[in-house]
Amino acid sequence: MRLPKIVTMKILGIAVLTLVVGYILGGWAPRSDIYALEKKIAQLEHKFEERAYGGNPSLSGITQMLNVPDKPDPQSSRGDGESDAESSADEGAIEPSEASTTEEEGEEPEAENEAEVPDEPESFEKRIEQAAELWGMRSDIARNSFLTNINATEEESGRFDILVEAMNIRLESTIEKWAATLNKDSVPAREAGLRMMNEITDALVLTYDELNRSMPPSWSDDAGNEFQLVDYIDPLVAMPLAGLEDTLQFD
Amino acid sequence: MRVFLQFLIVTRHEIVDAFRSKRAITLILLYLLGSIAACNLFVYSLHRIEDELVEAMGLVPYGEAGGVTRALWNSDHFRHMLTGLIGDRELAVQLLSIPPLAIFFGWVALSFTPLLVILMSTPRIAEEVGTSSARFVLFRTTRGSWCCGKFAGQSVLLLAALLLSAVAAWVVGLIRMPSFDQVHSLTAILSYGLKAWVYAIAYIGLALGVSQLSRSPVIATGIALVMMTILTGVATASGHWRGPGWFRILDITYLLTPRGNHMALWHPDFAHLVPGLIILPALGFLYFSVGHVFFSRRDL
Repeated sequence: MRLPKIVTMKILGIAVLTLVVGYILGGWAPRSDIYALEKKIAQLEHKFEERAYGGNPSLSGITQMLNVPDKPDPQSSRGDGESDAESSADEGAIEPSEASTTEEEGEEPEAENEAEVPDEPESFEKRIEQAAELWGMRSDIARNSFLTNINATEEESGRFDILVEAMNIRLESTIEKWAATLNKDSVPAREAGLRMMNEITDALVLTYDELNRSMPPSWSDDAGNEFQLVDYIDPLVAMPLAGLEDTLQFD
Repeated sequence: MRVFLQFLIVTRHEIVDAFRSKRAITLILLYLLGSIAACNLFVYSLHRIEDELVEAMGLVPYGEAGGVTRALWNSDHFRHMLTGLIGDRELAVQLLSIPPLAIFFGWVALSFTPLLVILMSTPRIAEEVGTSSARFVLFRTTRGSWCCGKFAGQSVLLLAALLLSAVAAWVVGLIRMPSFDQVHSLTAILSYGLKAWVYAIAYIGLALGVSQLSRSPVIATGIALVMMTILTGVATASGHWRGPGWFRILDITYLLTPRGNHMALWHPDFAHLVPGLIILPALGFLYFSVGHVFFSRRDL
């Protein structure tokens, strides 16, 4: 019977004030996290837009298609001098998109960047060589997994290897041709970049067509959604582009 | 217990008095007619826009309003556009699961109820203090119980008005849109009616808080309107400028306004909804309490 006596306006007012203050203070830390995450998302979106190669005829657009890792971001290449340049480059060479994701994940991405990115950005040739080293192993794994998934016979496996080899030869020849054209300055760089991308995608489409002819009828379903021919492109085919970084730098 | 009993008696008297003086009837009629007119206009506009759209596309017109909107509502392109407009993908997807008429009713109720509340509720305490009729009541109860009873009475009246206007909106949809999803629409419209009520409680608190400051209902209404405008301005400015660093201070001003919390009511999920449902009445009571601090010391 004594309880209702404490229900006065003063107590009610203080209780509500406490609730409102608690609500504001309680949300303070989560909102800080939200602001930080919003900033991070904006950075990632910006980075994603930069990296997207949809129709971008620049060097980065082309190298994205060819499995060559991007040049490290100058803003994030503030190394502490004790970093392991080799290992970071190798990680980046696995897959450009994968590299970007791992950079941004975790609690202290900037600190990780500082620890992993070398002082000086590597040359284009070096990046290709590093990517090619890992590509061999990665491509072998992807090949074995693909052939197992589609239950390929010995003959089909052989044909697949030939098709991949032919695709890489076609790509290399295309890139060599356009690198020579760009060196001669006979075609505007943007146009040449676009035409090169067109021929590269043509080579990929042609290989898909040949796979449809040579592989079992249900190969595409059996291979799964993850299958992509880009995984089988040897990064070394992009080597003729070395020295053309400045010519194709317009993004 | 006595205080609580007095509070209930004042609440009942506030409701009975509102019906006796025809204020409640006026309030309910106002909400009903407003809801019917707005929803009718919405269905009419929707039908006209759909007809124009269908004609422009060279298709056979739909015989009823809402057919094209239903197709549009389900199109990926429209969903993508709405996501871009709202800026919150999850909220956009959740809103798209709600019938358009319910969203429209929610928007009308959340936009116009505060103004009506300020106009209808602000005079309640000021006029009784101004005519000195409050003295007779305050012999029998405390000032706190009396003011809280007024608050509760106004809230109950508003709840009845909003629920009836929600039903009226549903009936308009039922009559004017034959392919209307009846059960889903009724629950969605009623839920927006309840949300608008919770949102309006914050403004009832503001109205009655201001009402305790003046003996003149007109002056009190004027002050309440100015306060409402200031709160809306503060919410808009704080919402625009708040951010990391020193701008975090604007989070406080933003969250202290009803408008700063009203987006929570649009979210159908409980994680957003529950804090909004609690904080908005709390804000209302806070505004009300600030007014009561002055009222409790006033010479009546």
